[in-house]
Amino acid sequence: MINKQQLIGEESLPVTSMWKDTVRRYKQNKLAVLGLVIITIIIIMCIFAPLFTAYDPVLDMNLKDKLLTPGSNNHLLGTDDYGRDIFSRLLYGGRTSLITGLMVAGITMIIGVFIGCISGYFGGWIDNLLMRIVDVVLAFPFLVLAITIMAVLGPSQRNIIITLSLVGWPSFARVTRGQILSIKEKEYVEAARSSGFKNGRIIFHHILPNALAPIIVTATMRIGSTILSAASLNFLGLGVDASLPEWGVMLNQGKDYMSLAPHLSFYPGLAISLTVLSMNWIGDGLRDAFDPQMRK
Amino acid sequence: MRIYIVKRLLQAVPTLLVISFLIFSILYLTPGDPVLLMIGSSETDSVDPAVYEAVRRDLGLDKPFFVRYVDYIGNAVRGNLGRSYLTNKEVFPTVMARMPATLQLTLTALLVAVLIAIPLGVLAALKQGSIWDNIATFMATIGVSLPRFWFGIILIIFFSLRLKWLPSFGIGDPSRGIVVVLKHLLLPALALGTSLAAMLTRMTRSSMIDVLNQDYVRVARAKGLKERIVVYIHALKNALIPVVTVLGTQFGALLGGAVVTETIFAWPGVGRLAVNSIARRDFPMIQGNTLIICTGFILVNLIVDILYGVLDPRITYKKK
Repeated sequence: MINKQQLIGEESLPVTSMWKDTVRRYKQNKLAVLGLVIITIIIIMCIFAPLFTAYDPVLDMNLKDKLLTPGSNNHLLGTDDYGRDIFSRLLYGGRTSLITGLMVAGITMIIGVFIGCISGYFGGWIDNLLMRIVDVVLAFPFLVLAITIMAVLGPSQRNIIITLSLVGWPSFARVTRGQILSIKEKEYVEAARSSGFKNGRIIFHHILPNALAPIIVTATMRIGSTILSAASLNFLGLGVDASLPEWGVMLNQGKDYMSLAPHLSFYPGLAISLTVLSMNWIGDGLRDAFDPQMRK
Repeated sequence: MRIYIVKRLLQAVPTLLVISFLIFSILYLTPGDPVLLMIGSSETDSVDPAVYEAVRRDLGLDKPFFVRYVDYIGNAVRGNLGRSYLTNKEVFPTVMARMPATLQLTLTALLVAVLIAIPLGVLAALKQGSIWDNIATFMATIGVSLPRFWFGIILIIFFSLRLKWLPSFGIGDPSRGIVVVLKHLLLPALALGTSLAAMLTRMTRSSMIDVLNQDYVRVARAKGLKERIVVYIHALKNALIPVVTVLGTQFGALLGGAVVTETIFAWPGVGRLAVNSIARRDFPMIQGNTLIICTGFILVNLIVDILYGVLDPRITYKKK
C-alpha cells in the first residue's frame, strides 16, 4: 500500500476527466439543475401521457362540458371549446413540440456541423462559397423566411420540421467554422497531418471532438428556440391540422375565447414558456460548465 | 468612410439579387395553378381554354423561368411588383401603404426594449453579484423564453379585458390625438419588445462589465473623476457598441415577430398582410411582401454597420 504522503505533484490529486469536471461544474449551477429537473418531468409526462390522464386529446369531445374552468368536473385544467380536456391536450401536444424541437436541432446540427467543418478546414474558394450561402440565408428575417417556405410547402408537421431545418442550419455552420479555424492551427492537428492521416479522419477524430462544447450548447438552445418558432407557425395556422393537440394550435384556438375562458390560452403558453426557459437554463449551465472562463 | 459606404451599398446588390431569386423560385415551385387562382375557379371546374390562355399570357406565365425572373427584377427596380391575384391591386403600393403601421410598431418596440434594457443592464453590471443583478439576469432569461404571442394574449387579458385600461386591438386614429395613438401602441409594442429587451439587458450587462475592467476606466477613476461621469461618459459609451450591433441584427427578428404580434392585435401592417395573403394563396402579394421586408432588413443592417464606425472610431474601414 502506498503512503499518501509519498505522492508528489499531480499524482496526489484525484483523477478527473473533462466530462467529470463539466458535470461537477454543472451541478453547482442551481438554475441549470432546476431546468434539467423541469424538462425531465415534462418529457416523462408527455411520453407516458396515458398514465396521467384518462381523456383522449382529440376524440373525447363533449359539447355539454365545453369551456369548463380548471378543476371542475374532473378536468384538472378545464376544457376547451369542444369540451376536450386541456390537461390531456397539453400532454399529447407536448409530444409534438418536443419531437419537433429535437428533430430540428438534430438535423440543423448535422447539416451545419458538416458544412462548418468543410468550410473551416479547407478554406479557400469552398469556404467563400459556403459562407456566402450562409450570409444570404441569415440575411432573411428568420420567421419571415419560414412563413414564406411554409406557404409553399403547405401546412403539416413534417413541413414545419423541413422549413425550420432549412432556415436554421447556417448559425450552426458559423459556430462550427469558427471553432475549426482556431483548432486546426493547434500542434496536435499538425502532428496528425504530418503522420499522414486523411483529411476526413483529422476533421472528425482530431478536430471535431475538441469543438463539441459550443456546438452542444447551441444545440440545446436550438431545441428551445425551435419549439418557440414551431409554436409561432402553428399559432398563425400554417402548421399542423387544427384538430390535433399542439401548444401553438391550442393558443390559436384560445385567442378567440380570451374574455370568456382565458385559461384556454394561459396553460399552453405556460407549457411553452416553461419548456423553453428550462432549455435556456440548461444551455446557460452547459456553457458555463464547459468553459468556466466564458462565464460573465 | 464615403468609399466604405459606397462599397457596402454595392455589396448589398448581389445579396438582394440572390434573395429575390430565392423568393421567386420558391414560389415558382409552389403547387397550384395561378391562372385558376386568378380566374377564381377551382381545379375541377371546366374553364374556357381561350380564357385560360389569355390569362396565362397576361400573367406572363407562357415565358420560360429565367425570362420571367429577369422581367420580374426589371419591373421590381421600377417599383412594379405585379398585381394581386385576388384584388388585382398593385402589390408595391399595397405593401407600402401598410409599411408605416409596421414601422411604427417595430420602432416603438425597439424604443421600449432599449428603455428597459440599458438602465437594467447598467444597474446589473454596476452591482454585479447583488440581488439587483440576480433579479435582472433572471428576468432576462424569462423574457427570452416567453412566446411573443402568448405574452401579447396575457397583456390583452389583463390590461384590456380585466382592467379595461387599454384597447386590445387596432391602430389608433391619429386624428383623435396622440393619447389614443399611444394607448393603442403600448400593448403591442410591449408584447413585441420584451424578448429584445431581455436579450439587450444581458448584452448591456456583460459588455458593461467588460468595459468597467478596462484600463481607461481605471485611469478615469484614478484621475478623481466623479463615479457618475466615469460610468455614463467613459464606460457606457463604449459598452453600447456591441449592443448597437445586436440591435441591427435583431431588427429582423422584430420584423418576424411583428407578423405574429400584428395578427394578435389586429394591427394593419405588412405582417398581417403576409399571413392573410398566405391563407388566400395570393402569390404575387406574398412575393412582393417578403421581398420588401427583406430589402428593409438589409438596409437596416447596412445603416447599423455605418453607425458602428461613427460610434467607434477605432474601427477603420480601409483594411477591409
